[in-house]
Amino acid sequence: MVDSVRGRLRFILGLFAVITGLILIRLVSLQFGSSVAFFETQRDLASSYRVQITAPRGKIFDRDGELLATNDVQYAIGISPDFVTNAESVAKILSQTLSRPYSELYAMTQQKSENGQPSKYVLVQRPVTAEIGEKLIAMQKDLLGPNLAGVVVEPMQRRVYPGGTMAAHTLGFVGYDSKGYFGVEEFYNDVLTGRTVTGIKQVVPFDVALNPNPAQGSDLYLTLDREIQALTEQVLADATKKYGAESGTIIVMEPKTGRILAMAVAPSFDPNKFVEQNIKPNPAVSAQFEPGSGFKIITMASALQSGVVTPESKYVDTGFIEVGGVIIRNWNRAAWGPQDMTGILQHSLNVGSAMLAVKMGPQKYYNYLSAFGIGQPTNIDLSGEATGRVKRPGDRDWYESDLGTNAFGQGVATTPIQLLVAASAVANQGAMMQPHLLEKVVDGNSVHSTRPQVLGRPISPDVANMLSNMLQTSVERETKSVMVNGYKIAGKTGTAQIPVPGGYDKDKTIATFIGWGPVDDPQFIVLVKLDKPSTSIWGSETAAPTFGELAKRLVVLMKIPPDNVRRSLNQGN
Amino acid sequence: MMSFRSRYDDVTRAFRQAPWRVQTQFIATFATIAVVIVALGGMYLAEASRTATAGRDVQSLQIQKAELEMSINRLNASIAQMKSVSRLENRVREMGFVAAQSTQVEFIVVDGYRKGQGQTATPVASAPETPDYNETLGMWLARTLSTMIGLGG
Repeated sequence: MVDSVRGRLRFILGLFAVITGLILIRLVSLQFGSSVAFFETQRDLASSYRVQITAPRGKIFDRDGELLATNDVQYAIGISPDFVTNAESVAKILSQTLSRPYSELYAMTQQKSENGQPSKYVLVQRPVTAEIGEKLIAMQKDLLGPNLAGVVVEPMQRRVYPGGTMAAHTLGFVGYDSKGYFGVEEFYNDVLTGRTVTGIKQVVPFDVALNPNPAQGSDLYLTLDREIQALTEQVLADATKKYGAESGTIIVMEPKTGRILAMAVAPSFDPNKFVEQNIKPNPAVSAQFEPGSGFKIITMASALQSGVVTPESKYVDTGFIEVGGVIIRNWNRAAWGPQDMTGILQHSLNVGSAMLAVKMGPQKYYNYLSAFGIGQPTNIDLSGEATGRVKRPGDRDWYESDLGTNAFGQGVATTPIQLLVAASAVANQGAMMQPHLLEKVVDGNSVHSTRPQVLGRPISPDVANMLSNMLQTSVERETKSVMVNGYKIAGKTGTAQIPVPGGYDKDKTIATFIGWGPVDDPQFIVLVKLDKPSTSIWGSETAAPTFGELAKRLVVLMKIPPDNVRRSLNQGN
Repeated sequence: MMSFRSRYDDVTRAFRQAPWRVQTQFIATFATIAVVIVALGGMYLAEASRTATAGRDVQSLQIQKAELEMSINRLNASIAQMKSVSRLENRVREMGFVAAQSTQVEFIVVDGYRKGQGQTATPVASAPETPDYNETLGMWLARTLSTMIGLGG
């Protein structure tokens, strides 16, 4: 009996020993065998996951440090049908929160992929406000709340433009892919973009490490002045409405430095809602147009500089001139009789301008156009700049008559910024300054400032001063709408025809005015361009008064004293 | 004189007559090992719990930091929107202000004033930076000893 019990006990002990041995062997094989890599991967998957950490995009300020573009958080709402356990609850809550039809959202929870399996992810709405996103997150965290399993609420950086439509074409916008499009956002995308690094997020508190801290994007301070920009946009909006223009552009620049103070485009867009709008490149730098009579400033400057005429030179305007077999006539087809050089500008005489170009000859004339940067990009720090076009002798489509028509701005294509920069040489003692929008880059504690650079000196200071005075005189005699009490203003109107297949549009024009002031110490140079004004086709009746309206308020905003006060201040010094 | 062999026999006899001595020895050894293990385990647990707490703190601070950054961004955007030109213009219009015209602005010539002659504020000289902890182990020992023997101030 005792032997039998002992035998059984031995058997049971032996059995336990075998089982324990097997377990030990299995444990050793799991710990050190070929499955180690698999189990390590499973452990890593459960305890850690990769995250992409993107540093915030740099902010954009105006020259006074007012925010033009900053960052905020919004959310993208999606559904993973795979993980939805209560489709009715998900559809009901999302319908209430997003104000979308229940049936549409319910259908999303049931969406299947091509292989018939539930879809991995369905985007419901992007972006939604932070309030909505955080409300949904709070509901998900609430254990007693509705069943929102399968609802994905992802935070996303959102670019905010506090000014709304203000300077929209100049700033551009940032897409959902965090890339800048158009304007400064695109041009300085690399500078603004914060670095993205991949970090490993540990779930187990023992293994927690500090998140990597990638370098954030640099902040940009622009030369734009928010107040001047707002004023310019207001004046442009009023002008397009008043004169029935289809669209318009105004650029305000400091001729001595090339700093762009304002760049207004109408119609504008709201970069905060870029998805809903048809956004086009900034016409101030990308729109090519035949400049018309504003171009006579360049022709006259070239003629004076080359010495073929002086301001006192006279000619008899017979109302037409033949160049290369083509008859060129004045804008009113009239003969203006004896005229001096100021008369050509004052009355905007095509015949006189063509005569100047002919006197210079094609070689000299086109060399001057090159010196003024016509047909070349200014390399302003904005994306999408067009080059314009000048046909030259030797080009297949250049004819001798082009010399005559180019002289008064026909048959040549420029951009608004190109024309403004060329004219700024006259305002600024013969020196064209590099137009720019970037004032400084602030990268952490380091500041990189831009310095004004000379783009070229197509004419001498003497010629620039002479022409400035001639343009001032012509404005005082002919275009009184641009004058500002107490300030001397120089400028030139332009009425450009719009080329269409087979000739020029008979009814529509582009009205321009380029002006600057005060003439003896110019603080601003402005180009006004109104596209297809309907109340009048003439620049003198649309663009010029727009300039006058702007200049009157600009001198106040820029704190420019009237000429007599400024002179007495200068004498005091 | 008692030989080593007879002493050994005496001790062996004594243990045979009183078996509790063997048990006492065994229990004492076991208890010592158990105390050491418990002490080591306790220390390990304490350390592990501190590490886990620190890890949780780090996680929670990181979440808090992210939330604060989001909040700061939102507030900055909100401030910028409140300071937008259109909003300020509406506000000043409501308050009865109008934009000044060039004819309404009076410039006054101040004798002796030169443009751009403003004073430039010079930064206040700051004290040289010192590290937060500048006491060496030797200094700490000396300070502690002097405090213990009553020499410390």
